[in-house]
Amino acid sequence: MRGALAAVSAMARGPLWPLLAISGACWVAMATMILDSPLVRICGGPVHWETLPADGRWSILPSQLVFDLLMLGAMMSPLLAHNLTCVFRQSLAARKGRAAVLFILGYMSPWLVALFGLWALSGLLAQALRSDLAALAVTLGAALVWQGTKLKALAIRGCHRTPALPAFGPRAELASFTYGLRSAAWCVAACWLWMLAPFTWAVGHLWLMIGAFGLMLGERYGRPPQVRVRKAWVGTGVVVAIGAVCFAHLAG
Amino acid sequence: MAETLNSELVGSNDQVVALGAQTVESEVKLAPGPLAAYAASYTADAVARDKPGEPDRLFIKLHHIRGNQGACVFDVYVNVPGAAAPGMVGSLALFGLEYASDAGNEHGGSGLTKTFEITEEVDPYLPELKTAGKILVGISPRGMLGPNDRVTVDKIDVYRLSAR
Repeated sequence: MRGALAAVSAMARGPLWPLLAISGACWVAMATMILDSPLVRICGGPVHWETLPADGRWSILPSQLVFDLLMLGAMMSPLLAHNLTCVFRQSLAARKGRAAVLFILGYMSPWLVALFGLWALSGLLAQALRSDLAALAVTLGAALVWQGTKLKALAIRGCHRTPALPAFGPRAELASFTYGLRSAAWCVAACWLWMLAPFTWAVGHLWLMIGAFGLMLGERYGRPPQVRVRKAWVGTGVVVAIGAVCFAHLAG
Repeated sequence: MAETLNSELVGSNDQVVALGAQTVESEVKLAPGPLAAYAASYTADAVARDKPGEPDRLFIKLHHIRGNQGACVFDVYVNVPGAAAPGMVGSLALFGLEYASDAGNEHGGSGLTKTFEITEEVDPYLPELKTAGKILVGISPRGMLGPNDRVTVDKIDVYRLSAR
């Protein structure tokens, strides 16, 4: 967490302060949306699958999209300092702005797809378990299991990978975009389960998002973990997930 | 984290260079705008001994050097087309290359990155540099490389550090 605080402090004092400003504005906008609208209509959960009529699902999509974009802006923009520095340093002055925009577009595309996938997955979980809390517990259990695997450590290391970006011509434009795509792919792989948690429990959505945000900041700017299986985390995760399924089964 | 505000990318070779048993040469294309800005920094005041300030400085950066042979040392040369013999700017010691190249390491296998100042080698040939719009970077092994030894440089960039 010390690394995350140092990174945020450096961002606030350096030229990348707009990332923090964007994040703050998005958090405020999200909080406003949540206070002004019925939370469940924005945040997914079982209501999309059980309560709303088919037409209703599509009619709330624009709000969903806006909320997803705000969520991305709030949670992901402070994670991009390292990547954007890499893009700026390897781009000619004339195309720095364009390179940054292309990178961000590339970064947002997989995340938007992933967020809609997570939204649907949270609905399926809640439908199968018939309880938001059980869905949350299963998600947290799965996240702990994922946290203890080698794949998770490799995904975080992938987030730290910096490419050599071409400087001239169409290759430079394409490379900025594909760097965004690749970074987002690693980022999704590293944090998808922590991002799923807020979708499963509408009441605590904002708090779970803040928790996931803190975790992701710590992981991105801290020392990457060693690539090994963490049996305690995997075991705890399995117990939590199985307990939640049993609870849902008994309660249902 | 914070960007170095007074440094600017001037050019790049935009290709992977595979180092071998023989000297390898790569052409680094320079963008006209930053090159003109570099040339313009050579004002009478900037080069006068009795006045403060100095012209811009130039550096080459070898990005993402990866491979399986960290014991070999390479000499790095820079040459401006149309100028005299290449000037040696330094040596590459690749200690830790194998670890830095491993995709499972902390930085995802980004390899090593080395920087050399080339101002002294380039500034006597400023007119030639402006005409050519490129420099040649040569990398020559000092020891022996075996047939299975592999060392690559993902990209060579030229940066200008403004004295302003």
